[in-house]
Amino acid sequence: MQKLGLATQAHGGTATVQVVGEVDIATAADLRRSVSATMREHGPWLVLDLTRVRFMDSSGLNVLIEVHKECKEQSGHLALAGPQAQVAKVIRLIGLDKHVAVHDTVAEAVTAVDAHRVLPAEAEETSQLN
Amino acid sequence: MTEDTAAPPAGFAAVRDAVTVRMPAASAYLSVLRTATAGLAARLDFTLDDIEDLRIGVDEACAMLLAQALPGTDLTAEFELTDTGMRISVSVLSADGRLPERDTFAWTVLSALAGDVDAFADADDRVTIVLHKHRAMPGSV
Repeated sequence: MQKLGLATQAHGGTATVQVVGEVDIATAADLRRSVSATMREHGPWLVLDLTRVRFMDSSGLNVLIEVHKECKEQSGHLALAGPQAQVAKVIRLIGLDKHVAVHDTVAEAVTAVDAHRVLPAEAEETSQLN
Repeated sequence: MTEDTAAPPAGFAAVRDAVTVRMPAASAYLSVLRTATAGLAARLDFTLDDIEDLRIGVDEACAMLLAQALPGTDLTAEFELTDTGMRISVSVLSADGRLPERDTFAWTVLSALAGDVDAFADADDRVTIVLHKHRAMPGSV
Protein backbone atom coordinates (compact mmCIF):
# COMPACT_ATOMS: atom_id res chain seq x y z
CA MET A 1 0.00 0.00 0.00
CA GLN A 2 1.38 3.36 -1.02
CA LYS A 3 1.47 6.14 1.52
CA LEU A 4 1.76 9.88 1.16
CA GLY A 5 4.78 11.71 2.47
CA LEU A 6 3.55 14.64 4.54
CA ALA A 7 5.79 17.18 6.25
CA THR A 8 4.81 20.48 7.88
CA GLN A 9 7.02 23.54 8.23
CA ALA A 10 6.03 26.89 9.71
CA HIS A 11 7.46 30.09 8.23
CA GLY A 12 6.45 32.78 10.69
CA GLY A 13 2.68 32.40 10.90
CA THR A 14 2.21 30.60 7.59
CA ALA A 15 2.49 26.82 7.62
CA THR A 16 3.60 24.81 4.59
CA VAL A 17 2.55 21.19 4.15
CA GLN A 18 4.73 19.34 1.68
CA VAL A 19 2.90 16.47 0.00
CA VAL A 20 4.90 13.67 -1.66
CA GLY A 21 3.38 10.85 -3.72
CA GLU A 22 0.01 10.15 -5.33
CA VAL A 23 -3.23 11.59 -3.93
CA ASP A 24 -6.11 9.24 -4.74
CA ILE A 25 -9.05 7.57 -3.01
CA ALA A 26 -6.59 5.49 -0.96
CA THR A 27 -4.52 8.41 0.34
CA ALA A 28 -6.79 11.50 0.31
CA ALA A 29 -7.90 10.94 3.92
CA ASP A 30 -4.25 11.03 5.06
CA LEU A 31 -3.84 14.43 3.41
CA ARG A 32 -7.05 15.70 5.04
CA ARG A 33 -5.95 14.54 8.50
CA SER A 34 -2.48 16.03 8.14
CA VAL A 35 -3.82 19.40 7.00
CA SER A 36 -6.39 19.49 9.82
CA ALA A 37 -3.67 18.80 12.37
CA THR A 38 -1.50 21.54 10.84
CA MET A 39 -4.37 24.04 10.99
CA ARG A 40 -5.06 23.19 14.62
CA GLU A 41 -1.43 23.79 15.50
CA HIS A 42 -0.53 26.73 13.25
CA GLY A 43 -3.83 28.35 12.28
CA PRO A 44 -5.62 28.75 8.93
CA TRP A 45 -2.78 30.35 6.92
CA LEU A 46 -1.61 27.54 4.79
CA VAL A 47 0.49 26.63 1.75
CA LEU A 48 0.19 23.19 0.19
CA ASP A 49 3.44 22.33 -1.58
CA LEU A 50 2.39 20.08 -4.48
CA THR A 51 5.80 20.07 -6.19
CA ARG A 52 6.29 16.38 -5.54
CA VAL A 53 2.72 15.17 -6.09
CA ARG A 54 2.96 12.83 -9.08
CA PHE A 55 -0.78 12.22 -9.37
CA MET A 56 -4.02 13.71 -8.07
CA ASP A 57 -7.61 12.73 -8.82
CA SER A 58 -10.97 14.13 -7.71
CA SER A 59 -10.55 12.66 -4.20
CA GLY A 60 -7.55 14.98 -3.80
CA LEU A 61 -9.39 17.89 -5.39
CA ASN A 62 -12.25 17.41 -2.92
CA VAL A 63 -9.75 17.67 -0.06
CA LEU A 64 -8.30 20.88 -1.51
CA ILE A 65 -11.82 22.37 -1.73
CA GLU A 66 -12.65 21.38 1.85
CA VAL A 67 -9.40 22.88 3.11
CA HIS A 68 -9.99 26.07 1.14
CA LYS A 69 -13.48 26.43 2.66
CA GLU A 70 -12.18 25.73 6.15
CA CYS A 71 -9.41 28.32 5.80
CA LYS A 72 -11.94 30.90 4.61
CA GLU A 73 -14.36 30.11 7.44
CA GLN A 74 -11.55 30.75 9.91
CA SER A 75 -10.62 34.00 8.14
CA GLY A 76 -7.39 32.43 6.93
CA HIS A 77 -6.01 31.75 3.47
CA LEU A 78 -4.90 28.78 1.39
CA ALA A 79 -2.45 28.85 -1.52
CA LEU A 80 -1.17 26.01 -3.68
CA ALA A 81 2.41 25.78 -4.88
CA GLY A 82 4.21 24.10 -7.76
CA PRO A 83 1.71 21.58 -9.14
CA GLN A 84 3.09 19.32 -11.87
CA ALA A 85 1.35 19.29 -15.26
CA GLN A 86 -1.18 16.52 -14.47
CA VAL A 87 -2.17 18.07 -11.15
CA ALA A 88 -2.40 21.58 -12.64
CA LYS A 89 -4.62 20.16 -15.39
CA VAL A 90 -7.26 18.67 -13.06
CA ILE A 91 -7.17 21.78 -10.86
CA ARG A 92 -8.00 23.89 -13.94
CA LEU A 93 -10.51 21.34 -15.20
CA ILE A 94 -12.83 21.75 -12.23
CA GLY A 95 -12.13 25.50 -11.97
CA LEU A 96 -10.44 25.31 -8.57
CA ASP A 97 -7.79 27.79 -9.76
CA LYS A 98 -10.51 30.46 -9.87
CA HIS A 99 -10.99 30.11 -6.12
CA VAL A 100 -7.55 29.16 -4.82
CA ALA A 101 -4.35 30.89 -5.96
CA VAL A 102 -1.85 28.54 -7.62
CA HIS A 103 1.77 29.73 -7.47
CA ASP A 104 4.84 28.41 -9.27
CA THR A 105 6.98 28.20 -6.15
CA VAL A 106 6.53 27.66 -2.43
CA ALA A 107 8.28 30.98 -1.71
CA GLU A 108 5.75 32.90 -3.82
CA ALA A 109 2.84 31.08 -2.20
CA VAL A 110 4.14 31.79 1.31
CA THR A 111 4.58 35.47 0.44
CA ALA A 112 1.00 35.60 -0.85
CA VAL A 113 -0.45 33.95 2.27
CA ASP A 114 1.69 36.16 4.51
CA ALA A 115 0.20 39.20 2.78
CA HIS A 116 -3.32 37.96 3.53
CA ARG A 117 -2.40 37.38 7.14
CA VAL A 118 -1.05 40.90 7.58
CA LEU A 119 -3.81 42.74 5.73
CA PRO A 120 -6.74 42.11 8.11
CA ALA A 121 -4.64 43.39 11.04
CA GLU A 122 -3.76 46.54 9.10
CA ALA A 123 -7.40 47.01 8.20
CA GLU A 124 -8.29 46.80 11.87
CA GLU A 125 -5.65 49.38 12.76
CA THR A 126 -7.01 51.70 10.12
CA SER A 127 -10.56 51.34 11.41
CA GLN A 128 -9.35 52.08 14.95
CA LEU A 129 -7.67 55.24 13.72
CA ASN A 130 -10.87 56.44 12.09
CA MET B 1 -3.98 -9.92 -9.71
CA THR B 2 -4.22 -11.85 -12.96
CA GLU B 3 -3.22 -10.62 -16.38
CA ASP B 4 -4.09 -12.36 -19.65
CA THR B 5 -2.66 -11.12 -22.88
CA ALA B 6 -4.05 -12.13 -26.25
CA ALA B 7 -1.88 -12.55 -29.32
CA PRO B 8 0.63 -9.74 -29.84
CA PRO B 9 -0.38 -7.13 -32.41
CA ALA B 10 1.21 -8.27 -35.65
CA GLY B 11 -0.91 -5.89 -37.72
CA PHE B 12 -2.84 -3.21 -35.87
CA ALA B 13 -6.30 -3.55 -37.34
CA ALA B 14 -6.41 -7.27 -38.02
CA VAL B 15 -5.54 -8.72 -34.61
CA ARG B 16 -7.70 -8.34 -31.53
CA ASP B 17 -5.40 -7.03 -28.84
CA ALA B 18 -7.00 -7.38 -25.43
CA VAL B 19 -5.76 -7.40 -21.85
CA THR B 20 -7.81 -8.14 -18.77
CA VAL B 21 -6.69 -7.08 -15.31
CA ARG B 22 -8.56 -8.44 -12.31
CA MET B 23 -7.77 -7.28 -8.78
CA PRO B 24 -9.44 -7.00 -5.40
CA ALA B 25 -12.03 -4.22 -5.31
CA ALA B 26 -9.93 -2.21 -2.84
CA SER B 27 -8.56 1.30 -3.21
CA ALA B 28 -5.01 0.24 -2.35
CA TYR B 29 -4.74 -1.47 -5.76
CA LEU B 30 -5.71 1.61 -7.79
CA SER B 31 -2.12 2.78 -8.20
CA VAL B 32 -1.25 -0.62 -9.72
CA LEU B 33 -4.05 -0.27 -12.24
CA ARG B 34 -2.95 3.27 -13.14
CA THR B 35 0.52 1.95 -13.88
CA ALA B 36 -0.88 -0.90 -16.01
CA THR B 37 -3.05 1.59 -17.91
CA ALA B 38 -0.10 3.85 -18.69
CA GLY B 39 1.98 0.87 -19.82
CA LEU B 40 -0.69 -0.43 -22.17
CA ALA B 41 -1.48 3.01 -23.60
CA ALA B 42 2.21 3.63 -24.26
CA ARG B 43 2.29 0.42 -26.25
CA LEU B 44 -0.48 1.72 -28.51
CA ASP B 45 1.29 4.92 -29.58
CA PHE B 46 -0.85 7.26 -27.51
CA THR B 47 0.75 10.65 -26.87
CA LEU B 48 2.10 11.37 -23.39
CA ASP B 49 -0.86 13.71 -22.75
CA ASP B 50 -3.34 11.03 -23.80
CA ILE B 51 -1.60 8.44 -21.63
CA GLU B 52 -1.88 10.77 -18.66
CA ASP B 53 -5.57 11.41 -19.43
CA LEU B 54 -6.25 7.68 -19.63
CA ARG B 55 -4.48 7.12 -16.33
CA ILE B 56 -6.72 9.70 -14.64
CA GLY B 57 -9.82 8.43 -16.43
CA VAL B 58 -9.34 4.83 -15.37
CA ASP B 59 -8.58 5.98 -11.83
CA GLU B 60 -11.76 8.07 -11.60
CA ALA B 61 -13.94 5.34 -13.09
CA CYS B 62 -12.56 2.73 -10.70
CA ALA B 63 -12.79 5.02 -7.67
CA MET B 64 -16.49 5.56 -8.41
CA LEU B 65 -17.11 1.84 -8.76
CA LEU B 66 -15.11 0.89 -5.67
CA ALA B 67 -17.46 3.04 -3.60
CA GLN B 68 -20.29 0.60 -4.35
CA ALA B 69 -18.45 -2.71 -4.86
CA LEU B 70 -19.54 -5.64 -2.71
CA PRO B 71 -16.88 -6.38 -0.06
CA GLY B 72 -14.54 -9.21 -0.95
CA THR B 73 -15.27 -9.08 -4.69
CA ASP B 74 -13.00 -8.16 -7.61
CA LEU B 75 -12.73 -5.21 -9.92
CA THR B 76 -12.21 -6.15 -13.54
CA ALA B 77 -10.61 -3.89 -16.14
CA GLU B 78 -10.67 -4.94 -19.80
CA PHE B 79 -8.44 -3.06 -22.22
CA GLU B 80 -9.14 -3.52 -25.89
CA LEU B 81 -7.47 -2.00 -28.90
CA THR B 82 -9.95 -0.70 -31.47
CA ASP B 83 -9.40 0.73 -34.94
CA THR B 84 -9.43 4.24 -33.54
CA GLY B 85 -8.02 3.92 -30.05
CA MET B 86 -8.53 1.99 -26.85
CA ARG B 87 -11.72 0.88 -25.15
CA ILE B 88 -11.52 0.23 -21.41
CA SER B 89 -14.36 -1.40 -19.48
CA VAL B 90 -14.13 -1.43 -15.71
CA SER B 91 -16.73 -3.23 -13.66
CA VAL B 92 -17.65 -4.39 -10.16
CA LEU B 93 -20.44 -6.37 -8.56
CA SER B 94 -22.61 -4.00 -6.55
CA ALA B 95 -25.44 -4.43 -4.08
CA ASP B 96 -28.05 -2.51 -6.05
CA GLY B 97 -26.80 -1.88 -9.60
CA ARG B 98 -26.90 1.87 -9.05
CA LEU B 99 -25.19 3.91 -11.77
CA PRO B 100 -22.51 6.46 -10.79
CA GLU B 101 -23.80 9.97 -10.17
CA ARG B 102 -22.83 12.40 -12.89
CA ASP B 103 -22.97 15.67 -10.94
CA THR B 104 -19.62 15.02 -9.22
CA PHE B 105 -16.07 16.26 -9.79
CA ALA B 106 -15.11 12.65 -10.44
CA TRP B 107 -17.50 12.39 -13.39
CA THR B 108 -16.45 15.85 -14.64
CA VAL B 109 -12.81 14.79 -14.71
CA LEU B 110 -13.62 11.40 -16.21
CA SER B 111 -15.82 12.68 -19.02
CA ALA B 112 -13.44 15.53 -19.88
CA LEU B 113 -10.34 13.36 -20.20
CA ALA B 114 -11.34 9.83 -21.09
CA GLY B 115 -13.01 10.35 -24.47
CA ASP B 116 -16.45 8.73 -24.87
CA VAL B 117 -17.77 7.53 -21.52
CA ASP B 118 -20.82 5.44 -20.71
CA ALA B 119 -22.10 3.51 -17.70
CA PHE B 120 -24.56 0.66 -17.45
CA ALA B 121 -25.76 -2.03 -15.07
CA ASP B 122 -26.47 -5.70 -15.82
CA ALA B 123 -29.31 -7.79 -14.42
CA ASP B 124 -26.91 -9.26 -11.84
CA ASP B 125 -26.09 -5.74 -10.54
CA ARG B 126 -22.65 -5.67 -12.16
CA VAL B 127 -21.97 -2.00 -12.85
CA THR B 128 -19.68 -1.15 -15.76
CA ILE B 129 -18.10 2.09 -16.92
CA VAL B 130 -16.76 2.11 -20.48
CA LEU B 131 -14.13 4.61 -21.64
CA HIS B 132 -13.25 4.90 -25.31
CA LYS B 133 -10.20 7.07 -25.88
CA HIS B 134 -9.44 7.87 -29.50
CA ARG B 135 -5.89 7.98 -30.68
CA ALA B 136 -4.72 10.97 -32.70
CA MET B 137 -4.50 9.75 -36.29
CA PRO B 138 -1.14 10.05 -38.07
CA GLY B 139 -0.92 13.42 -39.77
CA SER B 140 -3.72 14.94 -37.68
CA VAL B 141 -1.16 16.22 -35.12
